[in-house]
Amino acid sequence: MHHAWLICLKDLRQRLRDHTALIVAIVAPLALTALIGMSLSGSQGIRMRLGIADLDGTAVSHAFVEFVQRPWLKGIVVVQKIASRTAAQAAVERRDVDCAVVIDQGFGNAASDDKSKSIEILAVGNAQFALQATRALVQDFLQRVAANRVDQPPVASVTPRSPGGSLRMIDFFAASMTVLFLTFAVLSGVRALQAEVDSRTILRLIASPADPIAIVAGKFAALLLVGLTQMSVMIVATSLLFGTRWGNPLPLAALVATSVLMAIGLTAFLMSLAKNAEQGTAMAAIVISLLSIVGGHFLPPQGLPDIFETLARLTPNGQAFYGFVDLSAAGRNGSIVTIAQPLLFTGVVGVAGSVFAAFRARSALQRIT
Amino acid sequence: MHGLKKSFGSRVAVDGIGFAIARGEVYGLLGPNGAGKTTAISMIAGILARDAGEVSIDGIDIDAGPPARALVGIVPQSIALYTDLTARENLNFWGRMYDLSGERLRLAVESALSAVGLTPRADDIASTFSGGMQRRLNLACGILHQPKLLVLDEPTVGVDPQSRSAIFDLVERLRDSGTAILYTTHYMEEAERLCARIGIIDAGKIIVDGTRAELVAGLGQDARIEIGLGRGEGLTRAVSVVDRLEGVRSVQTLDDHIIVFADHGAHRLPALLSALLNASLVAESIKVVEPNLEDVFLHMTGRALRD
Repeated sequence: MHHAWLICLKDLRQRLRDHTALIVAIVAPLALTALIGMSLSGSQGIRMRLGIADLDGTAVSHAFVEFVQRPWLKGIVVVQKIASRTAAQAAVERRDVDCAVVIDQGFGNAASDDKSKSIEILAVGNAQFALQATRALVQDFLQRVAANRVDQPPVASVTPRSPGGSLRMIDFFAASMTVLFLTFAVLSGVRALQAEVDSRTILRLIASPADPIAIVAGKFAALLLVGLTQMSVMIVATSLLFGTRWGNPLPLAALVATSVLMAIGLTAFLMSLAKNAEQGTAMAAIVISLLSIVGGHFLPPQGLPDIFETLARLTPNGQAFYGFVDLSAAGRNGSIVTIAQPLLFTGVVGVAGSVFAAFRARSALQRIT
Repeated sequence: MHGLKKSFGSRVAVDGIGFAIARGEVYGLLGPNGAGKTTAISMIAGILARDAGEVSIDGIDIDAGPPARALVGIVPQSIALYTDLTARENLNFWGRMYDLSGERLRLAVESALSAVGLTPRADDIASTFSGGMQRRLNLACGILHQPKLLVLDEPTVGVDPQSRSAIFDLVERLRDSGTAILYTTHYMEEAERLCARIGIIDAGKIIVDGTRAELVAGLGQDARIEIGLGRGEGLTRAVSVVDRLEGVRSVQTLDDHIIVFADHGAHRLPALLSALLNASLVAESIKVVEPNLEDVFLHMTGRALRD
């Protein structure tokens, strides 16, 4: 372990000396989080004006009004009561409200008799965000009515797709930028590893008394520490500077670990496909940029068709990023179960990418000897 | 070391080579590109696993673990440095990797810096060094832990005359202090100056080895004749004409010359020129050269060392 520690320390010293890497790892994501988050919504989160025309007037329809006025949604959903369907339609068209729901007469009785029941949603064409948000709220309510559990607390897993949920723009972009720049930060470490192969210093390491396992362990430990440090600094900094809520610490720590592993595996995989460090860096930068677009790093999921989130969750970075988003939105209710899929996905990508890169590195070493 | 073998798939890179290097001896390993030098060196330094054969230093098998590896110092052909670290940081790192610490490490680093003339630049980042200075630091990293066997893989490629001279001096000092040195080079004058014994490797085999005098004597000739004929089909005809002459051992072509190895070469010159004239071939230049290692190499491999 002595040799592994020496290699790890040497690599960390090299990373610290790389000012560009420091900017990419810490300064750039912090600055972008602040700029994008603040410019889109400040720190106040998302607000939606919801008109409700309660033509039913039963306990069940009152329950819907209370449902959307829960403390959990305070400041996010602003309710305006409207007298009729016509008035609701007019309010929507005049943009007095972002969206309106009409609860027809008989809704309460239908619910009591366990018959089919529905709530009508009114919106104009370009109010996609409000429409999606309201639809999510209505569906959630109806499901709860069906299950006779209207008073129960919200389910964490639906929160990110709700109208803002407890997730604020600043939380979204803090997670987004942290994951995005994690891959770039780790890439600089993987690039250094490739450069070590290119410059043949790796041969000196192999010829030294260090055990091959110690060499791999030292290199991996340095990458891991770089990634973990970057994420930790970002989490602490965004919490202190922007009041970002990252969620329950224990599952958060687990997701940080697998996300770093994912970033190592992903960048090592991309780098291993290249002929040298320069080509690998360029290729990885392109692929990571594409993944960041598909991964939804620049688009909050609220108000967008589900396909965007589905696509995002097909990317490893998207998985990590949405894991953090889910965890943030779930607040204290978040657990390992909340982020089981992102944990598994990122962990598998990390291990698979690292193993593939290790085999490629072995072949590369055989070529240069 | 003996019986070293290594194959990559169906390609045999090293095919049963072996030689011994005594303390205080510099052994030159010469061969054209792709001959198997680097593969052989990699096996000797423990970088590459062998298919067969043994390597031992002072009776200790190179595979015997970290203590055995510490007996070898390697200076790769490429400049294997961390160019974002200072010269001292590079040396400190490699010293610690070879289990030096404390005062021993400090003294070893200072000694290595002094040996390669880099003490004044010890705390400068290596990327700010000239190519020659980086070569010298590259060498310092290999000798820092005072290995019993030092493997130098073309240590003077692309260096300025001053750095080359400094490297020669250092190699000679290390030799005189009892270090066994394995030296590969493309420069024949380096081999002639530094190496007590030389092995010529081609296609994975050592085809001849011995002292310089033994190798030259093995040619069985006292001169070679280089005749410039210009490019074209004349070269082929000239080889055919000259090869039939009495006393000619072999004829090879190199660029726009034919190179004739003949007994009593200088005395054969009139007959050679006469034969060429009779074949309507006019010599543009004529040079009679005393045999040297270059001739040995050319004779044994059919190629110039730079090929």
